[in-house]
Amino acid sequence: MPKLINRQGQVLSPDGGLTWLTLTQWQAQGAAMVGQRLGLEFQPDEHPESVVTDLAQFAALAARFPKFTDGRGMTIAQRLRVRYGWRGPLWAVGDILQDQLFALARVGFDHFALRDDQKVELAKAAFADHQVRYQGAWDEAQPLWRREDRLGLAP
Amino acid sequence: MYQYDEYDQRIVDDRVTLYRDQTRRFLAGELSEEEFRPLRLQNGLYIQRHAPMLRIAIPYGTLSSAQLRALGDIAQRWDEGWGHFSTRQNLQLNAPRLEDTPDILAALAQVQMHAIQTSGNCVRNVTSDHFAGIAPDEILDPRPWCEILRQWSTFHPEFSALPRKFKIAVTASEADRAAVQVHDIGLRALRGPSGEIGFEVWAGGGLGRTPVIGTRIRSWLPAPDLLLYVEAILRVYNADGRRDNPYKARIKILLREMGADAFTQAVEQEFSRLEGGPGQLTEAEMQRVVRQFAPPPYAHADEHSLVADAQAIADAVQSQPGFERWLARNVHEHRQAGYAAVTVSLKRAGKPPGDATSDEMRLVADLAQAHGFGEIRVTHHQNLVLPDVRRASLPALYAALRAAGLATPNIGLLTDMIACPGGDYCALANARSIPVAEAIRARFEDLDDLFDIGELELNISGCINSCGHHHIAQIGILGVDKNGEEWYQITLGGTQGPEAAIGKVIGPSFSAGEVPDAVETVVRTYVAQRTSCEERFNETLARIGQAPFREALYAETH
Repeated sequence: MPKLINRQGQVLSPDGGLTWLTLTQWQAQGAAMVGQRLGLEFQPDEHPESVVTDLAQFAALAARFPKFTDGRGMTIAQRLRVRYGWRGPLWAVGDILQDQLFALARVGFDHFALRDDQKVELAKAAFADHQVRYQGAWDEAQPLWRREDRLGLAP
Repeated sequence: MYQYDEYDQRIVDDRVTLYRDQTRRFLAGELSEEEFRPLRLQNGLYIQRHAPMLRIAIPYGTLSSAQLRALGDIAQRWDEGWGHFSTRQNLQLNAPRLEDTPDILAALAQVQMHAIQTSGNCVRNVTSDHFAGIAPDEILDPRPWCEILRQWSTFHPEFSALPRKFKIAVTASEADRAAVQVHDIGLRALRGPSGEIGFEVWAGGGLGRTPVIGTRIRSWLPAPDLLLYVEAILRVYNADGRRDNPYKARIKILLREMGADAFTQAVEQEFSRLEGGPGQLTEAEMQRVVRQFAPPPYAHADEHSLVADAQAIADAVQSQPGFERWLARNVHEHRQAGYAAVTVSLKRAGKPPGDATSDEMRLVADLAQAHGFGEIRVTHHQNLVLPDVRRASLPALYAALRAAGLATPNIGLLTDMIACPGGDYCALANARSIPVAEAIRARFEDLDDLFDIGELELNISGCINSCGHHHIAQIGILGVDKNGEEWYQITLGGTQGPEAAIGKVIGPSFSAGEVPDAVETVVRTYVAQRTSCEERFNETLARIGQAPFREALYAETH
């Protein structure tokens, strides 16, 4: 059973008290489930475009990482957050590594399903892996050069 | 050249700390080999045939003397006293110990260097023209744009696990010495009617198993939109690039499968959502970076000094043996009167192409200070360039390089071969490249002969990954495996530059022992058939076709 943590490193209930559906399940039987507290999980090859108008039906969204080398979930998060303005919880589930938590949080994930052997304390620290972020992302839309006066530092 | 500010420095310093901890966890068994793999790769560390290989980033091929000296020292302290300059303008160390790599990265950080994203499935080192900033034919200096891209792509969170590696090249001259059409993204800087800067954008080019010349997907992209457009391309690629087969995962396959029009439309649509957003470059940011590449304080040349320069050179032609040939091949025009650029040839007897010892790196670093402003370039042809040499110093520089064995007058000639490290080092290779390169070099050792043959490009790759760029050489040699034996396939007619083209296979492959004869046959056929010394290899080939080459090759040897 994976452990669910948030960005503060708190351990939460593993399913968040939600009924989780895949996109296929939602499209097939979603109508019957409206009214329940639902979560929708995207597979890496699915584009959120197809359910944009349904997003308000969900209490949380998730993107699955079948393998830590598969970064499609990163773009799914970017699209959900930036393009479609999803402001609710966004879970990273599947095969994710401690060393990816910083990047996952940057693109908009705020809940992370860790493997049992992954240590919560280390994971919590990983959210502060880098002090400097060059480019804008969900966590900070402004690139470094818009945030800081780099001109004054130039040699 | 670009100097780190405190943010740039903190990025590389933090990286060292992180990587040190990752390596510690791996060695302690807390990270599996599989989990450590992408982490070490994104820090440039491969596990090779005999030992790890560490690839150090040399952004757009520009180095300071202090940096090159540090590379020499690092190679001596933690490796075997030499390094290999690669076709992507990086430096590879072939025998560091895994345990030492955190210390190596720390030493690099002290001279504003790193190995971030020099391998792995991410945006790699941005490459450029080795004559950037000094070439007479250049429209503007492409390096500020490379640096802007370097910072943007460094630890980009969304693009940290792409389907495959991703290479961007930038040029700003018609001649395109950066081969932008064979990169995942190729950018050619242009100026608009009022002098404003923009880019022509190419996508989906690449060598490797499926060589493809890229597609021009935009003829004008205003400079402030540079990062937004590149972001749009990468987003389309990250979402939809194939991940089922690593051989089909590069963006060139996505572009081909979607079709150029649909791909371009998807990129444009993504870009339209980003336009005007915070990623649009501000005038202040562009100026901040451009200013750091301002020309060095050149000495003003007048009529008298130019006459004196010419006299000093004429005297050296008389008094220094070999100087005239070196001047003809290794000295290049400079946009500043009174100056020249000099190529330090790393293609010499008994040394693999692109290799340099620690002593040689330190010597070149010193020479760049004595005869320039302490700057060195790495070329994708695997040579070094001293970019700002006073013409009056050419004789002294030649003497110093010649004494060190670094003045082989062969730039642009047949023995200025590109070759990957091949099966002697690389775990991917099917065949060795270095001994074949050496055998060909020995065959064409006679300088009179080499100069008579004239300009000719010959590139060698030890396997279909094509690190040796054999596809775009006039004569390409590819190592192939046939039933456990090393064979070499020859292609003719590849072209680099603005008219880039992929060479065509001439016929059945050759054994290692047969390659020098085969190359000689091709070269002699060309020389016999050309209408004049001015007719280049590909012009002759286009005029007479492959048949005369094939007949000469296979009538004799098979």
